[in-house]
Amino acid sequence: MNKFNFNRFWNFGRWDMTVNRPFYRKSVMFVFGIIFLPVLLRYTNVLWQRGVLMRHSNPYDFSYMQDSLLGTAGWIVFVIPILMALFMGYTFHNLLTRQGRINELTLPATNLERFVWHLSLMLVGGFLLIVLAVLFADVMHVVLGFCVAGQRHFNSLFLKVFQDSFEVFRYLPFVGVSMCIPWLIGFFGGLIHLGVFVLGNAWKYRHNVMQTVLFIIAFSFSCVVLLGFGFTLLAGHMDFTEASFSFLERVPEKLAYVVVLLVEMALCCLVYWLSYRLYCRAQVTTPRNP
Amino acid sequence: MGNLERNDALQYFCGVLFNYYAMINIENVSFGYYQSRPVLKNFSLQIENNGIYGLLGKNGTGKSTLLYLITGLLRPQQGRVTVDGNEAKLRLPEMMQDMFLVPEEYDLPHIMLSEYVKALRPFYPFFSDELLRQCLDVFDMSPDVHLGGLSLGQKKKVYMCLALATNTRYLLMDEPTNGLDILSKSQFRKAMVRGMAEEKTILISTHQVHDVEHLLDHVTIIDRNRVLLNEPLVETDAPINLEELFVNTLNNKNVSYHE
Repeated sequence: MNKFNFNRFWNFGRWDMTVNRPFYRKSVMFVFGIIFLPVLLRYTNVLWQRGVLMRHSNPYDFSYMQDSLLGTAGWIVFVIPILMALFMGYTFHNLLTRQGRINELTLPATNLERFVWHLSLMLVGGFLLIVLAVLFADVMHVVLGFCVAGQRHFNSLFLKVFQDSFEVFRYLPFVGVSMCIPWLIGFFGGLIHLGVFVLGNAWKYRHNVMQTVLFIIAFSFSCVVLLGFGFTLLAGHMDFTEASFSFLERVPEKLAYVVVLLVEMALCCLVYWLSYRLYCRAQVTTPRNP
Repeated sequence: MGNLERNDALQYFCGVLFNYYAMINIENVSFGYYQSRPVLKNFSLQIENNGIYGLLGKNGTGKSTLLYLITGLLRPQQGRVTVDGNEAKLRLPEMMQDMFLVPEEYDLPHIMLSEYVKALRPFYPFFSDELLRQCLDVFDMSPDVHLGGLSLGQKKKVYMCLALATNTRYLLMDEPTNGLDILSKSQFRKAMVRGMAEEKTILISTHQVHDVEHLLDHVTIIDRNRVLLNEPLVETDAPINLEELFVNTLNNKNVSYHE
């Protein structure tokens, strides 16, 4: 049942890219547009300012712009997780309609081959698409900066985006811990976050992204309330002193992070395994997906 | 290996050895889209020989559901469906490459037919370009069409041609003549005859009995949870009156399918 044949896998990929060409084309244009938008706005603003200043015969130097990539890069860093969540929410987009389900599920390929194709296309393909879009925006930033603002030296937008993306690790308290573990914790945390959107899509094929977001909000809120409530109840019945928590200080830091990492890895496997299981049990019509 | 699995393996081995197992075996299947409203309950049906089968029944008796169960697009809540000994719900590639479903409604991608054929061909080892061309000829259609620009009827014709060209052993068609004009219905019958081969089994689910009565080798009439009639149509000089047979069977009268 779970046999994996690379020939069939690539055939399925070719079929998917052929029948969904208009969808993928629109997705590429959307991603490039979203990431290029702040660059365009930045230089449209320059043109507008130049027009205003020229009218008042007041020449102005725009060379200051070369270092002020903050807003542009900030926007891109902000939209990357949203775009990735959207990609993952459309992992099984072929199952959106009844006809799509018939076409995909009756193709002679195993569930595993189809699942791996969809997941890698959205996860790896989606990430590569974003990287390409940022590179494209970077090139346009150079071209527009040269033509519109008359800049001669440029800071790379691409580098700024990826520096900003990993900036978060600098503020996390990983003192004395090998950098490999925090990286892995961050990596698996991201995979779990994206996996929840895959699971949401395997559960429901339509309006799933919004429902997954609502579920995450409701789940986080419930966890906070339950933890707070539970802790208050516990505190009322037990006599806590500072010494009660001293055992935490005795736990080796490295061990604590390894435990967190192992829990994350187990959760990650669970989320993707559940998604796969739901995908294997996909039917042409169910009360959940009419 | 549990007792049940061992028995299944033994049954399959004997089936292969003596070639007696049904090609399509529906065994005590219960299924409902909602728990409170079962469409099929303890339903059993065997398809044992090749040929063109007509699956007839009133609206809502579960004809389409049955086709979806055979292709593994629905999972029975009870019982099992096997195709050549393979459990249908597993949708194994070995089973699916020998089976093609033409649903009642479908949408084709907005690409050229040739591109679609190129994407589909690798999945079906016996895909025949010649048969596709012949079938398109019967329907007066060109192979150089853009699928996005076709009307509903034209899409149906193209899809049926593709289905025949895949040369799968099992071809399942759900209301294939719905949406076709009179001329196209006649062309459909010609195409079916051209695409039929000795080793093929075509299962046509329909309630438009007139459109298929000259095609069928076998007729199966179902009503809710029962198979009312499952018999081969014996060739005689007298023409078959399928409508009368259908009505009489449903009304529990003496069955006679020749005028």
